[in-house]
Amino acid sequence: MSLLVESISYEYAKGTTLSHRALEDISLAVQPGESTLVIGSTGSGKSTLLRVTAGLLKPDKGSVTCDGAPVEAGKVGMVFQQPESQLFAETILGDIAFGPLNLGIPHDKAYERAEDALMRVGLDVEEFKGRSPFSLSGGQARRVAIAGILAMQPPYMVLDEPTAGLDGAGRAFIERLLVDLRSNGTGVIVVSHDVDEFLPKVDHVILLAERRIVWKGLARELIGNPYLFSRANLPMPDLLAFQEDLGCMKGSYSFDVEAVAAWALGGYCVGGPAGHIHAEHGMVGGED
Amino acid sequence: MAFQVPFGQYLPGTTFIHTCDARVKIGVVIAFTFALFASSGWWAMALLAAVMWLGYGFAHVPFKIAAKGLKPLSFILIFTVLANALTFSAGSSDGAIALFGNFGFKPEGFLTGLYYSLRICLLVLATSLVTFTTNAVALADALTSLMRPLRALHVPVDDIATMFSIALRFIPTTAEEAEKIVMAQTARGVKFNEGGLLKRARVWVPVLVPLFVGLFRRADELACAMEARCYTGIGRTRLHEPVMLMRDWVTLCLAVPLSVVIGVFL
Repeated sequence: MSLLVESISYEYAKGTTLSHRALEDISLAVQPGESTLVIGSTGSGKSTLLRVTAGLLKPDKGSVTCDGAPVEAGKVGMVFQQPESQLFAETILGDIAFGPLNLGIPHDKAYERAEDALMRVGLDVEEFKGRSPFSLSGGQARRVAIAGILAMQPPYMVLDEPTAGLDGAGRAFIERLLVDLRSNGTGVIVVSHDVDEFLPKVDHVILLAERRIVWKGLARELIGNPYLFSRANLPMPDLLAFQEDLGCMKGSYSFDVEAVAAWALGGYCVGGPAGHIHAEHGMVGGED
Repeated sequence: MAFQVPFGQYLPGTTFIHTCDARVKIGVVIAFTFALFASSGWWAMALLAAVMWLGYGFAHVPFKIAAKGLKPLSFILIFTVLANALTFSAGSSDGAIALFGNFGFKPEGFLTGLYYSLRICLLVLATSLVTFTTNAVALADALTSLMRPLRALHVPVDDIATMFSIALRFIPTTAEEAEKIVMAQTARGVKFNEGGLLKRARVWVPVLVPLFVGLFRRADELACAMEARCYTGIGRTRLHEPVMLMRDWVTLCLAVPLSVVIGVFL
C-alpha cells in the first residue's frame, strides 16, 4: 500500500522546438500517513513531478502506481497552486460536492461529504454553504478549494505551494491540515518554498535540482546536516542557519543549544550542536 | 511552461522572415489573402500552397506546430466539405450519386468544399506565419504605424495598438491558465473526453467560468497597474522606430504584384 513513483522522466512539448526536459529518472514512495516535502529552486521540476504523480501528465518513462494500480486522474487528490482560481459553482457546497459527484458518489452522500469537508477546513457550514465562492476572501477561497479535494477522500494528496499568498492564519491552517491528513492516514507530498514551516512537520524530504533528485532522506537527517541544501543550490533555511549560528557561539552564552533549536524547529531537531555551553553573560539576546 | 499555443505564439529566430519588417509581413499577408480569394482555380491554390510551404521552410517553423493551429478549425473544415458534398436532392442534381432516397453525394460539391477548406487553411497558415515570426511588440508597432493616417480622423490609434499588443501578449498566458484549470478539474474527476456532444460541452463550464472570472480580474489589475504607471495612451514614443530596409522594399515590391497576378489571372 503506497504511492510509488518509479524512474519517471518527462519532457514537455516533445518533438517540437519548444521541447524541454522537466524530470529525469525520479523515484519516490509515499506510505499512508507519511508526508514528504519536495524542495527545489524554480524550474527544478517540482510542479511537474506532482502533476505526473497525480496522473495528470503521463510520464515518458517509468510508472506511477497508487496502491498497486496505475495512477489515474482523480485517484490522487491534487491541490494546485492558488486552487481558488478553479472555483466555479453557484454555491460553495456545490463546488465542494463537484469532485465526489464526478467520482459517482450519490448526490446526498456527496453533499454530506462536502459539509464534512467544509467543517474540516474550519468554515461554518451554515454560514458558508449557500454563499457564492466568488464572495470569499483569498484565504477562505483557498480553504474551500482544498475542501473540494478533501471531499473526494483520496488516500494520497499532493499539494503544490499550498501556503503561497496566504496570511499567518492561512499558513497556520495549512500546517494543521498537514497534521490532520497524516493522522487520518493520508499520504502527502508537499511542494513548498516555505522550508522553515514544513521541514519540522514532514517525515521525508526530497531535494530537486535541474530535473533530478540530488538528495532524499529523512527530514531529521537534513536538519542535522543543513549544508545538504547547497546540493540543490538552495540557501540554508533561516531556522537552520540560526541553529548553526548558535553552535558558533561556544563559550559565550548559557543555554542548551539543542533545546532551543528543537523549540524553534517544532520539536523535530535532533542534529544541533551537542552539549551545554558554559554561562558567561546570561540569556540569549543579553547584552555583550 | 508546458502548454503549447499553436496560434499567436512567437517562435524566436534569425531567418529572413523573422528579421523582415513587420509592416511588410502584414502587407504581404494582405496581398496573399487577396490572391487567395480573387483566384478561382486549383493551379492558383497549388501555387499559393507551395508559397506557404516555402515560407514555413524559410522561417524554420516546423509544419507540425503550424498544423496544430488548424486543429481547432477541423469542425469548420469538415462541415464545409460535407455541406458542399452532400445533397438532399440527389435525384434532381446533375452528377449526384444517390445514397438513400434523395440523399446523395455530389463529387463536384466535394471538390468545391475541399477548395474552400484549403482556402481557410492557407489563410490561417499565412496569418500564423506572421505571428510565429513576429513578436507582439513589433506587430503592435507595425499596426500603429500602418494606422497612423487614421489619427486625422480622431481614431485612437495608440489605444488600439496597445489593446492589440496586450491581447497578443495574453494569448499564451490565457492558454496556460486554461490548461491549469483543465488539469485541476481533471484532478477533481472531470472526464473531458467521455459522453455525447452535449455532455462534452457541459463539462467545459467548470473551466470557462473560472477562466473568465480570472481574465476579468487580471484585466482589472492590469488596467490599475498601467494607470499607476501613468499610462494615458497619448503621445507615446518608441525607443527604436522601425525602419524599412532595401530588402523589405524588394520583398514588398515582389510579393504584391505577384499576388495580384495570381489573383487576377489564375
